[in-house]
Amino acid sequence: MKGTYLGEFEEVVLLAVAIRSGDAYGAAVVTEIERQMDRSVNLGAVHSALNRLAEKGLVTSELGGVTTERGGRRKRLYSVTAAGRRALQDVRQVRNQMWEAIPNTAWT
Amino acid sequence: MNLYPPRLATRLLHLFCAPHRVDELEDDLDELFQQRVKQIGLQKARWRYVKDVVSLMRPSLMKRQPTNAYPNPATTTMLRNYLKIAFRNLVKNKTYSSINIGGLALGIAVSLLILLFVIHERTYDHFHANADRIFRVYSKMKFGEQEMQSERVSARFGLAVQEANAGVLDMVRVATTPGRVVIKTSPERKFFEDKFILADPSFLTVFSFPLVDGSAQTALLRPMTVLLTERTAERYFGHEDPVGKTITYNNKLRFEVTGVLKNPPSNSTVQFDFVASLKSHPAIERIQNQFIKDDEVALLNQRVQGGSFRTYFLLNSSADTGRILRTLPGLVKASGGDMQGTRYIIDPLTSVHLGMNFGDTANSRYLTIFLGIAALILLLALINYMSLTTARATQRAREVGVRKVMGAGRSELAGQFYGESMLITGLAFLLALVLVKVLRPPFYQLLQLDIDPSFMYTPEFGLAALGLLITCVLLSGSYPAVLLSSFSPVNVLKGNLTTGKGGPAVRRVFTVIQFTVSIGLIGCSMLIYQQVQHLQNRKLGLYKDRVLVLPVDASLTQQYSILKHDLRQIPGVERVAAASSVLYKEGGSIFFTQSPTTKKDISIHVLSVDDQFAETLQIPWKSKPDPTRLAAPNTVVLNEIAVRKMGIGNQPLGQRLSFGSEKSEVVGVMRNFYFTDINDSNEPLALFVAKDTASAMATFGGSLYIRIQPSADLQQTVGRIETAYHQINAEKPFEYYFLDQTFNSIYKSEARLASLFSVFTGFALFIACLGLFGLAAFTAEQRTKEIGVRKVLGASVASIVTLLSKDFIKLVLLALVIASPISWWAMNKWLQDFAYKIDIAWWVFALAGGLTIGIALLTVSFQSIKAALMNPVKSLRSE
Repeated sequence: MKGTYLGEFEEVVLLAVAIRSGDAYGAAVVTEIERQMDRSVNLGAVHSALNRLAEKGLVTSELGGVTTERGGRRKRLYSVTAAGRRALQDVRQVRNQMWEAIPNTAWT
Repeated sequence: MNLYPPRLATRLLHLFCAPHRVDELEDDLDELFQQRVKQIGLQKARWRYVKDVVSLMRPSLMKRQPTNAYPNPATTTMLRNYLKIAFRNLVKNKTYSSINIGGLALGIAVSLLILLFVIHERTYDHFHANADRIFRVYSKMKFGEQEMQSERVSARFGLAVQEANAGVLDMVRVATTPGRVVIKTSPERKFFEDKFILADPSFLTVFSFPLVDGSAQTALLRPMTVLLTERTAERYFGHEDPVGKTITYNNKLRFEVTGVLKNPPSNSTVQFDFVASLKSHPAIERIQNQFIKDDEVALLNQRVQGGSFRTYFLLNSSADTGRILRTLPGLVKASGGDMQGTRYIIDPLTSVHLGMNFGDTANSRYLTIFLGIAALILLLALINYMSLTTARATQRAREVGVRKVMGAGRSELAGQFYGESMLITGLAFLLALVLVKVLRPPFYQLLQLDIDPSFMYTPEFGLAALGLLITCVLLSGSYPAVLLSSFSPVNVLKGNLTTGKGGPAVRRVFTVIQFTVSIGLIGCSMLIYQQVQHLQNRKLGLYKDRVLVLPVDASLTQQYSILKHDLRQIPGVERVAAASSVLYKEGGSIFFTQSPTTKKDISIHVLSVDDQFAETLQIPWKSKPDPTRLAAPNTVVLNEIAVRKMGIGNQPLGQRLSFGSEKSEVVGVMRNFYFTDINDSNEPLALFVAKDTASAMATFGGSLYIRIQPSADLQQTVGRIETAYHQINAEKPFEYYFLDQTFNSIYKSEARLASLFSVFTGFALFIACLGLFGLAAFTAEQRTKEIGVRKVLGASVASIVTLLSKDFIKLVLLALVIASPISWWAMNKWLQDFAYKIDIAWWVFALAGGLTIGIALLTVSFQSIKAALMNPVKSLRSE
């Protein structure tokens, strides 16, 4: 997991995008994170994280279709790329690896 | 219930956020807001909204990033299109483009060169940090009816003024050496120097002449110390460090080098190669006169009066000059002097250079003329550009039509053509800069100017060049832009527009202006040349053609007779005489003497000569003195004017005149001959004649006049003279003048004007012809079909050439009619200043006109013959 470093908040945002895949726009990601983690998140922080992720090539974005829901304006929908998925898996694997490395005596 | 988010925050978002992201962000905010209203209530939702907006204020979201998804086509695309079209046009019409750019570049280059010279003259002495506070003093003295000007005052003068006025912050006295000196460091390194000055230590602080080596505090303090300029240091010491070494002055004095100064800029009135401490002045004075008493030394003179020191003051403000002048009479009186008939003037250093209007290049009137010529040449080049561009308008008419149909407004089209002019002018300007670099050395050589090469990089010149560029761009673009953008699209696209209305008429006016200027300049340059020739060839009353002048000095006193004898033995040398100065080069001394009859003071030039002088220079006598009296002591010979001015015309011989302390008897009268370098007319002259064998001439530093036989080989004879000179082991380097050359150099500034005029006339004519060539080529091209039809119907080549050339020749004739009176008037005005002048002959203008018509015909016929010889099958086949 040398390549791109994934920050903690970036990881959360990336996960949220994955959860809402197909419908991951800024506000949706915020709502998702707030619901999952029960903490309030700034829209600005999310957008900036999305920007960084896009620069790293971990997410891509495209303009969604016109819906009546948002006054006829278009959303920018994010989706996790293959690299993004791999990054998430790497993080998870490292975590798992580390969990398993904890000796049994540690908790007692 | 108000379910809207805070408006202020929304507006803030729009203000800072990148436009392409703002919608999306606002939507997100909106959606979150609506959710939160339900979850946490309106107040808190609004608060969160504001917090979110603030959190969005980060650079990554503010960055305006017009991604390809939202292109902004209006500006850049059209600009790119304009540029592309402009380049295609340039490349497609190579001839026109090169004529256009080349002509313009030449015009700009010439104007830049002249501008460089003019700015150099106008910024004299502006480089001093204290430039606006440095003042110099000079005096005007009345002697009888004559007023003399002197910029030298006594040593005490500056000190006294400084002591008496608090406004005088500092003072510098500068002295020069009497004539040229020989400086030596080693037998091989021995040169004549004429820029050896002596100055107070304040020289280094009042003026801005920086030291490269040595200390400004101690330099120039001790007697017999000297500072060298960098160039001089290299001449005498090569790459060695000169500080601490010594130089020998006239083989008598030794100066210790205490520092090295930067070379003075070429636009400085104070010029020097050596700056010795002023305290060395008495030593130099003693070489001249060994018997001088201590209290007679100029540096110790306690009187406030005229003297031998140029004096500069550093004032608190320019207002102090009035106060100083008011205290002066008191100072003069207190020192025991007398101010009668003398007026002192204090003026700023920066006004000195252009103020002395008798100099040669420093002639402010000629500066205006030069500027005028520069403007004319630039005008020619610009007109050229405009007429060629508009002539080409038909080629662009269709483009203009299409653009208009597609919705281009007039202002956009005008902008496009302005832009094209800007591009071409810019290219021309770059080329002009290259030309300036190349042409600068020969140009300055022609004008005999000495301008530092680094002057090109000063901000003054940069600004002027920029101004010139802007003027060119504004002018060159204006007319084409207006004309080209005025085409009516309907007419153009129907194809029934040949040239814009008024276009040909304006071009005719342009051509007439160009040739008026050219003919005027040709006329003027011919007249100036004639006048210079006239001045140089006039009868001087003496023989000057093959006379070599050889200055000698005191070191020759011993061998003087031997040298004269040796010279006379040389085959090819006809006669040898001596006089106290080099005629036309060194101003002799002027005495005042009282007329024995009218009792009026007359200023009279004085020349010491030997008894061979009149014969050698073939000056005729009016009343020849008795040979026994000629070189007798206390006798004098006058010229006719002197006799007339003194009012002793009836009986000049035997009159006794006093010169200084001695009385001399008039023993002979010479015909007038021309001898000064200042005035146009003859002046009174008194000749003190000495025996041929007297060596006094050498003691006081005179010159030998060697007349060379008309049949002798000049170079060979000069070589023999040099050999003879070296045989006597003279201390002074061998240096000589030819009398006719020194005479001609009096009219340096006129001769310079003449050569300048002819060169620029050449440029002007060339530029005008370039334009004519372009226009002729264009007309011929336009009338290809007509010529084809005419040829098919039987027209001869000659008749077609006439047809094509006629129009142009008419214009040139019109130009001749306009130019002649104007240049006649201008030259008449110029000639007013000469006492000795030519009459303006009508044929000069006829010749100028004829010459121009000839050149114009040649230019046009090249194109018209080409057109006339074309095979009609080819020209009619197409379409």
